[in-house]
Amino acid sequence: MKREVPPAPRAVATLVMGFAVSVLSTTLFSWWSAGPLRLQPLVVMVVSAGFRLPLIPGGLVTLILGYMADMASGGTSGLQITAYLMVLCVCAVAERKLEINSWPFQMLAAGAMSLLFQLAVMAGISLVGRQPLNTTHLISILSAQAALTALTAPVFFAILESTVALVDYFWPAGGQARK
Amino acid sequence: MNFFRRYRFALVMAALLLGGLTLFSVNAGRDPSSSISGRLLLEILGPAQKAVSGIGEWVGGVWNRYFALVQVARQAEDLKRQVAAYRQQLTDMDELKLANARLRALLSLKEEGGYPQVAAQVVGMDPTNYFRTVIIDKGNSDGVDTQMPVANAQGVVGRVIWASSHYAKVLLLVDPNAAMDVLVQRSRARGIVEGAGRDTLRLKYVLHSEDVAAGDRLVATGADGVFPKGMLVGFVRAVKQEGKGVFQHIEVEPAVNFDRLEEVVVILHRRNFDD
Repeated sequence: MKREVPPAPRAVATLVMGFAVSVLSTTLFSWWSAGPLRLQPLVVMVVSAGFRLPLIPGGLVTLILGYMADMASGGTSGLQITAYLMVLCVCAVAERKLEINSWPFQMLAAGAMSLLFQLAVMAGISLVGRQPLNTTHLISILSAQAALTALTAPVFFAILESTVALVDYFWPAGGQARK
Repeated sequence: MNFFRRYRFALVMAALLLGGLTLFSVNAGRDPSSSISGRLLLEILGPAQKAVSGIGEWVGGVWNRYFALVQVARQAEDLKRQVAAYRQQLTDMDELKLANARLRALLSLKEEGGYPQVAAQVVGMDPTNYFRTVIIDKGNSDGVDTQMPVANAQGVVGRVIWASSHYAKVLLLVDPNAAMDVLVQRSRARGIVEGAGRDTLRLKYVLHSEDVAAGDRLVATGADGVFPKGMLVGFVRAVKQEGKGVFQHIEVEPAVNFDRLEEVVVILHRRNFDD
């Protein structure tokens, strides 16, 4: 039977991956963006934290990732933190009934949470009296963004799980468990 | 005690969301300031972004040097022709500059501009499609500070909104939160340009009586104290005389191609808003 990875190495691996995708989101993924659509690997990291980490460590990881996203972006500080925390909370509630081990469910969860994240960010932008960039074709852009996130989610989930396995391998407790 | 144990999950969730909302509401509407943790994070993110950008440029360089030589040769021919044309323009401009200096001296006008500049490389772009910002590899240690204007050879790029020791965040002119005072070069009509979408600007507060036409060049007035006077901002794309409002609806095409930003110049001049 497959051993469950403890929260500490999973949280560290999620942070490491979060940092890596934050850097890539502002460089490689920005260069390869399709019009207004961007890859949203951080949503996948938060969805994974919501489903596979206890609420407190998951919340701490999300706070750090959200702050990193806010710093790399031009929005009001706290906007993306709040949006990602909403995603985390929804995932943490859903985790009580569901699992995201299969690809289709990973895609569904990432797509739905991408939509929630975008709506939360847009609501936040409207609250501070700013106009979101893409007001025309809003629904189609939101749907296309969610679809893109859903389609690419299994890749990021797989990379994250590989990182978790790697960190767990070198984690002291992980070493003891192997013995 | 039982209450906390029973509702621990809900209470932790509420605390997390309230914490996020509090941070957001505290920062909403405030001018972005360089907090210590933010500066530290920018210092950590910046080198990684610079490394990835460097690798991207290296790959691009290899492609350009070894695999696209035919195209480069063709471009070189075109560029030679362009250089010849620009040389002529430069000569004409030198003449105009000399004439301008003579006239300025005659009118005893104070020479403006001449601020020191620092060249910077764009190392990161905004990861979302809601905001338009970039991160550059120059910061406080190079003299860069908030509110300083950023430009490139094409025209106005934006202004610095955040700076750490070695990196700075620039709010691009196309961001809906960016605005600046401009002048229609031909008719001297004044207005405010603000970001209106992905790569579009909007010229606001220009009266129906003012003379503005498609193709007109917009330049900075210098009145906002951030951008030096005369800096090219964009070109009028369309003028719509719709509705019964007082002002015209004017779409503007930015002079800068914001999708291809690589190198920029920060003008080391910061307005003292306490003046």
